[in-house]
Amino acid sequence: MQGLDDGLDAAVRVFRTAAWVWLAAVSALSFASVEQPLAVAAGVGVAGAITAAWWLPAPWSALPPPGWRPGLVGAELVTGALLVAGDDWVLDQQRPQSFGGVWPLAGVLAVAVRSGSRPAAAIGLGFGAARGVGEVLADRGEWSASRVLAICSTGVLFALAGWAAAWAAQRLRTAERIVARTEARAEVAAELHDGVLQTLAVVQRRSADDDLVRLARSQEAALRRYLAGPELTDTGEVAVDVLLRATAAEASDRFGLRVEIAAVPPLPALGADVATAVRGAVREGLANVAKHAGADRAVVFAEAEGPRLVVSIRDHGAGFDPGTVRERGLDASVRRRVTAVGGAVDVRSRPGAGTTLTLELPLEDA
Amino acid sequence: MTARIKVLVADDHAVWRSGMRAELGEAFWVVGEAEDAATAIRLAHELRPDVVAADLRMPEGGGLRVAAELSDEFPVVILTVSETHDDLLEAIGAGAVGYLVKSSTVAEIGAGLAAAARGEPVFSASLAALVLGDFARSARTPDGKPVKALSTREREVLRLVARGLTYRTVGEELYIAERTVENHVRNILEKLRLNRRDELIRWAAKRGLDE
Repeated sequence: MQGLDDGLDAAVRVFRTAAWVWLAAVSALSFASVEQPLAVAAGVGVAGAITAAWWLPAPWSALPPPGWRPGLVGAELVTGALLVAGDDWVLDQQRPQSFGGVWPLAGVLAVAVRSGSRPAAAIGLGFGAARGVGEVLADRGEWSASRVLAICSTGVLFALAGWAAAWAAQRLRTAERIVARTEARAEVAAELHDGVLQTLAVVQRRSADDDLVRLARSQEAALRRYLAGPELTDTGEVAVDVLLRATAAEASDRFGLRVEIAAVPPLPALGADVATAVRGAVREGLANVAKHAGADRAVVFAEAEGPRLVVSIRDHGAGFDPGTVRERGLDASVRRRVTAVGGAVDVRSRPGAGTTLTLELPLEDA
Repeated sequence: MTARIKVLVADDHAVWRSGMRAELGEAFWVVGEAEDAATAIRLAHELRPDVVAADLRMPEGGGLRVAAELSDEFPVVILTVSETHDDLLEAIGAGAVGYLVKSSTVAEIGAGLAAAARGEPVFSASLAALVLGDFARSARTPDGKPVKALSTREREVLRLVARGLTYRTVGEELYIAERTVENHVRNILEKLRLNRRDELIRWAAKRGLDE
């Protein structure tokens, strides 16, 4: 959590600096007309020194020290309270702006980030009280309801700002913790899955119980589909290798076919239409291998060649003569899907020498 | 009767090690089992197996370290549950003769180990695809021109293997002998290894200059 807190400290530091620049500018512009020019100069000077101190390296290192610096925060809070309290004394009453501006808020925020909402709100209320004390001491006659209200609202505003900042910091911390936990869980999950895949492979190999083997195969397919990740990319396109792995896992589940995916990286993402055509064609092709080729394994190959995606399905099964019923059936079911998106199909087979089904798809409209 | 092939099985899953011992059959003799990379390396020097079957993911460096340290003396075959693990190609680049996916049948695993023990590469379609992609990648990087590019013939061989053809059918397709196909595959692996080594040296040199 170190990084987040350091970041928040840095943000407060930038805020403090900006607030001081504003404070100094306003004071310089109105310097001639204020009642206590010396006090104004002193206030701006001290606030400037504290602001600068937050940027200065600690004696023992080359960088501004990260984190909580109690001495500096204390000096900042005292100075902030004095600026708020001195408001009425150094300026005349008619002035719409206040002497300290928002600079005193930096101390409240520093406390909020590191110590939480209660201390921050308490200090905010303390600033309100300081203003009240300041006005009593300055003793400018007539007390009115609106004056009391103005004093109260100063306290409430500082307190609210401190409380809100602390609450936001707390939420950020929680969010960061959740992210870290999620990442850790994903890592553990990957390790676990590795082990489960091993076990499922062994069960399929060594069990004589057909039902158990089928169950293990189906579980393995489901796990592989999950591990392959989401098919849709960030842009709503479909990742080719994920699509092929999912389709292969499905065929392995349905037919007990073992499918090797030979995907040449990098593969492009597909538009929805081409993706649907590829999925349907590969599904048909693998079903054909399982039902007619008498083979128990197949290789699905994919490579992008310029503007085309080449996908082939190869088995070492029975094969067939060109022109037979089987070829016509395969041809019809696959060709319809592929030509619909502007692709081409090629079937090559010989009896006894297996079959290669090749699909070529355009990538342009992807 | 020919001598049985001596296998060292390195895998952190006990069920897998005992499975190999139980299933590999008459032609093999599991001379040792290791549950991490360091033990595998020590046992290999002690037991002198004909082939080392090492899981990709193991404590103390995994199959990558086993391949890097043993491949000069023993053929190392990587076992993996998933061919999408990105360190797979690293292990091949480090000297492994190939890999076998654990969901393969016993017959396939046996055939792979026997081929490796004979000194042949265990080159599957998916590995061929990964290697094709790797050569294309290193040809694309501007300062990473590979020392060894593939010849046209080697690329043809690689693509046909990736499509799932056996060495014999690749040979028929290209009108060359099966033996020649095998030599091509061996040369391709050697080039991959040299390129990887070269890349590593360049990377190390660059880091050295930057620091």
